[in-house]
Amino acid sequence: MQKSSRRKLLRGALVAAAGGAALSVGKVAAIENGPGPAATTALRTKNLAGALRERGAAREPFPRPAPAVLPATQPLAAAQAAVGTPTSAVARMQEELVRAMAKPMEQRKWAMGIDLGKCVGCSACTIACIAENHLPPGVVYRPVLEEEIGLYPNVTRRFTPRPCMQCEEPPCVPVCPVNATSKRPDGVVEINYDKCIGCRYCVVACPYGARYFDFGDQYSDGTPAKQPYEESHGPEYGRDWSRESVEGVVRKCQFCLHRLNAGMLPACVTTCIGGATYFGDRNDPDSLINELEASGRAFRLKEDLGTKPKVFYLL
Amino acid sequence: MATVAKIGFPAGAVRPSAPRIWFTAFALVWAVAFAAGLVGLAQRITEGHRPADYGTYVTWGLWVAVYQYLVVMAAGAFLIAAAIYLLRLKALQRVAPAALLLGIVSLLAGMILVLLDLGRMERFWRVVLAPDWSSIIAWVVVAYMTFLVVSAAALWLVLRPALAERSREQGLRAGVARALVFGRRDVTAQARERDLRTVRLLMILGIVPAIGFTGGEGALFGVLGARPFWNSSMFPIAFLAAAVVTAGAALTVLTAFFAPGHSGDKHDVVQFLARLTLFALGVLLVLEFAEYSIGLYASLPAQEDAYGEILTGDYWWSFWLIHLVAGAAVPFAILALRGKSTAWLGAAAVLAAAGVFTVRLNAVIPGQVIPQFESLRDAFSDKRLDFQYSPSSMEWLVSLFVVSLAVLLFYVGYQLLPVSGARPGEQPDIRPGTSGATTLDGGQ
Repeated sequence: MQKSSRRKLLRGALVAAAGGAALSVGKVAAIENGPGPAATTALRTKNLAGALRERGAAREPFPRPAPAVLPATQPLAAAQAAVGTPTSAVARMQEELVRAMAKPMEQRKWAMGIDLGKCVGCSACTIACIAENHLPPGVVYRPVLEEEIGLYPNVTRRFTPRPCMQCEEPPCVPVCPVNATSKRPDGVVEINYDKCIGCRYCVVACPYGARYFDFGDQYSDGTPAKQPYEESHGPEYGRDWSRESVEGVVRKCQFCLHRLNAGMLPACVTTCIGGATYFGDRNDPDSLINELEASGRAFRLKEDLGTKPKVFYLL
Repeated sequence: MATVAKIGFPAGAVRPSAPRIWFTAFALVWAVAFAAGLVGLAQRITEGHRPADYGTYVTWGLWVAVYQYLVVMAAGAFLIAAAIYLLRLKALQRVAPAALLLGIVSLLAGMILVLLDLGRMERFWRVVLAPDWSSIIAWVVVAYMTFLVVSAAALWLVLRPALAERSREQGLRAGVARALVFGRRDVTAQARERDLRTVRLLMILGIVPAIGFTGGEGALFGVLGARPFWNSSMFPIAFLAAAVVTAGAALTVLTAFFAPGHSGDKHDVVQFLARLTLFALGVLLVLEFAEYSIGLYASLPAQEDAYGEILTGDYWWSFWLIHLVAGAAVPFAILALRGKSTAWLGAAAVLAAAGVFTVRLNAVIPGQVIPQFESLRDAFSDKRLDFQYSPSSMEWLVSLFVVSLAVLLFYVGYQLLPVSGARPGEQPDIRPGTSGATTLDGGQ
């Protein structure tokens, strides 16, 4: 009796394992081969290849070599080629950056676009930003907001990276009592760390929660020794900031101005694995950022406030 | 002479000391509070903001609430003094100098606390010397400075005759009087009349910065369109009502428990102050009801959630039990049922003042605990990126330090300056026909 039960259990486990494996293979095949009738039924709108293809056909504004609609059997690589690889967009933005930097500051207007359909919520941009700007604990210029939308089985997740919006009408600027924050001619809202008194009025005035107070926390707090990386100096605004010099002040994303000055795109743009973040000069009529903004898919967070963010999102 | 006579110093027959038991008990509590506060201050100086519980999302915490409480009380004290001198409120004349002193001390204490709240304390001078006039804070600081100058000048003029008299004596107080009288020893009727006119002028001038920074403190919140809970024109007005409640309560307690004199002598003053305090509290409650009911009926989640946090959140008891029951219902009941007892009225004032403290907390904190985006709550995990806030021990201790420092400063001022007017030989008198050489009105 006992033996028989064990055999039954083993048999059941084997059947379950085989079924699971078959299902997994089927899913992989469906993702790589495009939505065949069976796969479409099984995966519905969650099919990555299908989603990529649709988005590429309908929404990508920059030139693409491949046809917009792919045969159902075309592999994923081809699907990616069809929508334009992230690299090609980055290369184009890089060229435009060099072009913009050749102009006087007041003639360029930086803007950022984030394609929510492409963002996979990997938070690579968040981490890249922290590493690039030597951010301490509790200071995160670009968190990724995660939302679950819909009801099962029609469920999806939306990832919304939230850098500083670099508002054209920034509510955080006029509240500063010591003129430590201002809007530059190129549209970037900057903070003068040498002037900031740390009153945090700008923090409460920001409708997007995009300003952070640097408490002086260290990653090694509570451990025996401070680590060398904590002693390294931050590069923001093209200056050399020691850890102590930015303690007690308010900090925020500044579109990696130090990188722009060196001819490089912001860290979040170059590290985005999905190619979801775009950056460029809004004053350049031929720029990719302008094409995207005019695509009809662009929207801004809390547009009703009239702050005119220079970060827009694509749906 | 007599035409100028309405304003002056506390009247005659008073006993030299407050009930000893009150003073001893209070001194013990103060000593413990001050010692504990010094620990918090040491922590703040050596460890900066790290031991604080506020973060980036709830970035203004207990210190901002206490600071606002103190500066708003300063304005209230000045407004009460101004009312006494300008409206010739005889019943309150004996507390007018104390009100001016309270205003100065309270504002200084508030400024010390907000200084400790700054991330970079060493740069505070920038607000004074390199301000940006587009910021309300810059204007509020100008109002503070003006207020301090006007209050100090008014207090000096009010005390000058008594200082002149005392400067002829021996001892520490006489030495202080000699240092402060600045050679102006003229106590003739003409001199006092001139001083009185100037005091009245200063009172008028001082009303502007007092109302200015009280309203400004409310406007700090009110102008923030990003925060629906704060974005209300009710804040500046409610702050004015709270100013009178807190200052009136402080003066009631001071007179009831610590001012020299018979209970019978003091009772009228205490009763008047208590009634004034509770009237202002009534106005505050009406304003609060208007604000809360409109906010809730607007049915905007961003507003509703903040009110919900106050009414039913983690600290619901601070609103219902401390503010409404202990801080409002009980004081009104005391006034109605035990209105003839000076001590009960003093207790009612303590409760009202405590209740308004929760009003301050419930103005500062709930406005920040509602995220700008709901998903911001979980976007990144860090203790500074939290929408929950509960003041740390350092925050409580530093607040305790500042409040006990204010008490110390007030006590020193009260002892060294002829504020109470109660010391024999320096007794000013405002009553026509009574002798008393040190009154502004001339007295004789």
